Amino acid sequence: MAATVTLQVYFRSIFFTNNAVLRSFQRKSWRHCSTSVNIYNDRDPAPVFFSENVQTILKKITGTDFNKVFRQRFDEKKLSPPEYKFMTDEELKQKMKNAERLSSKILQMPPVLKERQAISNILSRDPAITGFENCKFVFTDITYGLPDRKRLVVVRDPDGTLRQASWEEAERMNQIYNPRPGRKLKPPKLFQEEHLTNVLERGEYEFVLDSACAQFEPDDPEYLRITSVVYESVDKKRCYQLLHSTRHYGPLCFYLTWNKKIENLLISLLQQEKLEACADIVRLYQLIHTDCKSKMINVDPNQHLELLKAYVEHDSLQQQQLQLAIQAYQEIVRERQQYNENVKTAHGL
Amino acid sequence: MMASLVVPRRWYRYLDTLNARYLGSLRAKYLNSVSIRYLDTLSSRYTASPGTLQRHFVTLVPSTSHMVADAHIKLRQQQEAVNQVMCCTPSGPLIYSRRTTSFFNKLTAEQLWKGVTSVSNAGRKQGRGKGVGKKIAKDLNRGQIIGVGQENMVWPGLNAPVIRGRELVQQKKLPKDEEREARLIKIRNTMGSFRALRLDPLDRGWCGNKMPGRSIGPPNPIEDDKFEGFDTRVLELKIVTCMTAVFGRKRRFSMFVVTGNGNGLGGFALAKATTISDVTRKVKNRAGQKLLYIERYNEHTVLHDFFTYFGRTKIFVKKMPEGYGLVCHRAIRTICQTLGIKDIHAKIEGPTNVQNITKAFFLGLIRQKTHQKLADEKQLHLVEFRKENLNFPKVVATPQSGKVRTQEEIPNNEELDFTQHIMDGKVQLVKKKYPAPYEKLPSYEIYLKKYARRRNHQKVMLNMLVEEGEYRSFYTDQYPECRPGYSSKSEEAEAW
Repeated sequence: MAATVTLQVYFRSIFFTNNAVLRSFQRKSWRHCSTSVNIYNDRDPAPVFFSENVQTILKKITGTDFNKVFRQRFDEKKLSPPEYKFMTDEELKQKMKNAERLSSKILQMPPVLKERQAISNILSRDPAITGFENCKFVFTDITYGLPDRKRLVVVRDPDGTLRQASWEEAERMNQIYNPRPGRKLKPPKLFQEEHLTNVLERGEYEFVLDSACAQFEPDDPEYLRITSVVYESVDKKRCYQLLHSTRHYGPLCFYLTWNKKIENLLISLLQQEKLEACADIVRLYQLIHTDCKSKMINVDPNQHLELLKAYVEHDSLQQQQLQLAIQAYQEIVRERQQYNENVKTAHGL
Repeated sequence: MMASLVVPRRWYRYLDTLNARYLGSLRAKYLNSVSIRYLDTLSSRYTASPGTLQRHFVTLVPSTSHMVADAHIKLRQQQEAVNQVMCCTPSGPLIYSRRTTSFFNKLTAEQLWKGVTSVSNAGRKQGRGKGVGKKIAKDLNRGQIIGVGQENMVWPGLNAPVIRGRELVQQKKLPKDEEREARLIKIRNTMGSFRALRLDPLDRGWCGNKMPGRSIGPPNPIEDDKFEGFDTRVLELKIVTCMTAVFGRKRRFSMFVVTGNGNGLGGFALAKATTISDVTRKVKNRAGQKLLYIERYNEHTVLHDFFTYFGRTKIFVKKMPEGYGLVCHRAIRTICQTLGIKDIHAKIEGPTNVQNITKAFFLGLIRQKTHQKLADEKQLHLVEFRKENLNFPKVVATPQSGKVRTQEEIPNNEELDFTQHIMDGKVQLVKKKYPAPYEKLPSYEIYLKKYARRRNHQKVMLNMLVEEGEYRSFYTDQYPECRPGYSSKSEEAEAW
């Protein structure tokens, strides 16, 4: 037994860094890299997502670019002329605070939950009334003020069973009696496979994610499928900047970190010389995967590059690429320093 | 050996008068210096070939210098000989004198026509020479080409190339064109009757086929300044009269235009002249001299709302967002188009005299205050709030000195409201909007109830096309007639 265990460990250590196929064997279910899969089945992401540390990190890396957050959206509303005000410094500060509060509302991240389980709650069986009608009857509680999830929706089947409505039936009834803006009774064709790939090829990630948020609940398997397809596409094209400073950046980083696909993200951040963001993602990784090796090493939290290097050494699955990127970054920094010094000496300073 | 030369007869007349020595006055009257020099060389080198004096053109043949004087004498003799045509009749020989020159070919076409069509001053006072009976001068050059006349001839250098391929083209007489006279007469018959001007719709202004609203082109270039991008539009064209001692009623055109390059530069001017072409030229050049630069906001609208007036004409101008358009008097719209303002709302109160409107509007435009100036005036931040940007406070201008007043430093009675400050305390009267008279009737309620049924049909049908692909209902699958555009006749035809 011990021999087999050591053998397993030996094999693991050989293939740990490079073999993506073996990596997938280590998990419970088989996974394809490109197609969409429900990834939150085995472990519930909600407690991790809503923990304070994770939330602060995600909010920090999302960023608040006011020009992007408050940009004009094309919603076919009539334009009105701008208003002007004379303001003192205090008044301006107050308005800016209000704007920040509004921006944090706009940048509120859609929750990351695991897939919901099908409802199978039978309230009563009445075989005596089988065949009373050839269609189902749906009873909805339309009390004012109830949240949609708490609303009771029951169905009487033709065979006499009175059961609680399934998720789809309940959502449809809620949309009929309390329609939500942006939500349709029938999900738009946008979310079908071929149309989705077409739209994502054009780079309309934010549009698709916003539509999905409006149409589906966060624990809907459809929502999880769509978001994973979008995140994979973003990762493939390396277009992380498109979602930066939007409410989807946090869940995107969480998804990638959960699935250990942060290499591309780290490389693109390094190329933009955002070391702090890189360090934040590594810290996020350590929070999500508490069994990782780089956590053991005590690195000064202010040394972002050191933290990144520790991750690259111990936990990364694409060591070479990341190391190359780090080297390139260090080269650039060195050259820039050299250039500045040359300029200074030339000017005689 | 020089080739023979063909010259117009008029020029040859000058040669003819060399003997008379009326050089000074004649030269000044008929010819410019170039043609004089040319003709002097002609006279010393050429003489008329015999038998060519009566026609439109005279063929000159080269002569040697010592024969010039003899040649001239010979010419005279020839002329006199032509004047006397011998004709034999039973009663004896008849001599017909023919003049080769008369008033007909000594006066210009304009002078001749004036003699035929003009009305005396006295007649003019009584109103003659206006309206239906007015004789109109006909342009006889229409339908004619230089080089083609009664005689159908090929003149190399004039109506044919001198060299065709490798050969010199020779003078050649072609057979006479019988229909030429008929064609000319036909053209001349159609002339003279009044014909209404036909304008392309894109060229029209806001006054039908007349000038107001139309473009008259950019001002004429002055040395280096080419007035690129400038367009002038007529705002007003009227005929003004005054009584004079000599002519009586004197009629002149008065034109008021605005010019602009679509980028903030523009100016307006008024000019008067007797003809349309003169007044057009005068006024657009004058407008080009009086240019002003006006500030715009984002190159599409004014900086802020303002109120202006000139005379009794008052204008309330409002700044508008992109896509609003020029909702204003047509004169203001024309001015804005030339200046490059695309969105504005302007309400005129009082008389709508076009000149006063223009002056009031320009006054308001040049009196606009830039954002920086306003911030410096008030020593406060100027902040812009836009609804489409969720009212995010965008600081447009801060005081240049860097010092911003605090709440305590601002006196109680100071006007801090932007609109009030800009309008100098004036408030535009906003009239109350009353409901339409039919809204009080009971039939309106009935209409609303009926309309409520089909109020959302457009959106529903659009969604249906998106989701289902066609207009359908629950019955469409079972019953084929439940489809739009279905007719029972087509089914019967198919059955047949």
